Amino acid sequence: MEQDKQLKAILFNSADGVSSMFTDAVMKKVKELPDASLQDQPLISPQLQKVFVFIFSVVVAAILGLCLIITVSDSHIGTLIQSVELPDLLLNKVLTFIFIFWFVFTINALFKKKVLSRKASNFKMH
Amino acid sequence: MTNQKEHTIINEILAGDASAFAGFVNRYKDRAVILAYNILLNQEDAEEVAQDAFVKAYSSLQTFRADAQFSTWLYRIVVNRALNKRKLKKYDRVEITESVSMELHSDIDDIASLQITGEHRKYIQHALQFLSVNERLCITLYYLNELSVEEVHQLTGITTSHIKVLLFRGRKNLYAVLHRHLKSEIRNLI
Repeated sequence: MEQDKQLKAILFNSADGVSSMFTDAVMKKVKELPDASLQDQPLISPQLQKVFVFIFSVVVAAILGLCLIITVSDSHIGTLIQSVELPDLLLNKVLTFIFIFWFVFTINALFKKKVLSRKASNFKMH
Repeated sequence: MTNQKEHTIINEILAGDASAFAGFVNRYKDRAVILAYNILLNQEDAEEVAQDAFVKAYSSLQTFRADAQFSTWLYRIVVNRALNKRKLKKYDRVEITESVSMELHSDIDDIASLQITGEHRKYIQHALQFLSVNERLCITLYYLNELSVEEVHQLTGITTSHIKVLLFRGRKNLYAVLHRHLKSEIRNLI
């Protein structure tokens, strides 16, 4: 342990003292950086993203609930649900929109995650 | 500075308070410069690399993982930048003509009894030239920057068993050369 401390002292004295202007020089460079390099502007606000996630969860829960009800309940509830007439065209459009939206959203999230992890691994040495 | 405090400061910086970054610079500048110096063996270049590393760390803060330590992340940037600079500048290798003694146990004890100060800097700088880059890198990260062998492995990619060898060999060589330089001072102490 004593040797470790001694070696630390040796290494600490290996370089000349850091120049007094070091911090100022770094901060000057930092302030000269364009703002865009620090923060990526998200396409949609985090609040709106939360709303989308909530709506999606409600839709998924409703579909699962309906499936469950139809499967386990009495036959008359199933026929009751089936008797509800929805305009086919509208229903198809809504379902297609939801499917495409979340498909693209998921692909985008996966791609973003992959790109970020690749960026992080660039720091590692080979 | 605790991890939590560091993350609070990082959040402040990301929120737009650039001046909060000065705290990080003041805290880590010495170790960052020494780390770069022990790769480049040139003070001017070491400071330049350390400054660039801080700027790079600042501009990449949004990619910093919450479970990581800022210091380790910064040291990784410093090491990468210093090694790149070393490669680009093709630093001349120091011609080693002196032989390094391998009977070192008494030397290590002698050095340990000596109070190393800034006055011994030129001896230390000369002694460091006798070590390989990897030896200097490993002993600096392990002893000065206080990283574990595992962390040094993650940062440099060198295997843990090889790091242990480099630490042992680097320490021995450094003490041997220093012992020769500081012989007269040790004699005075005895």
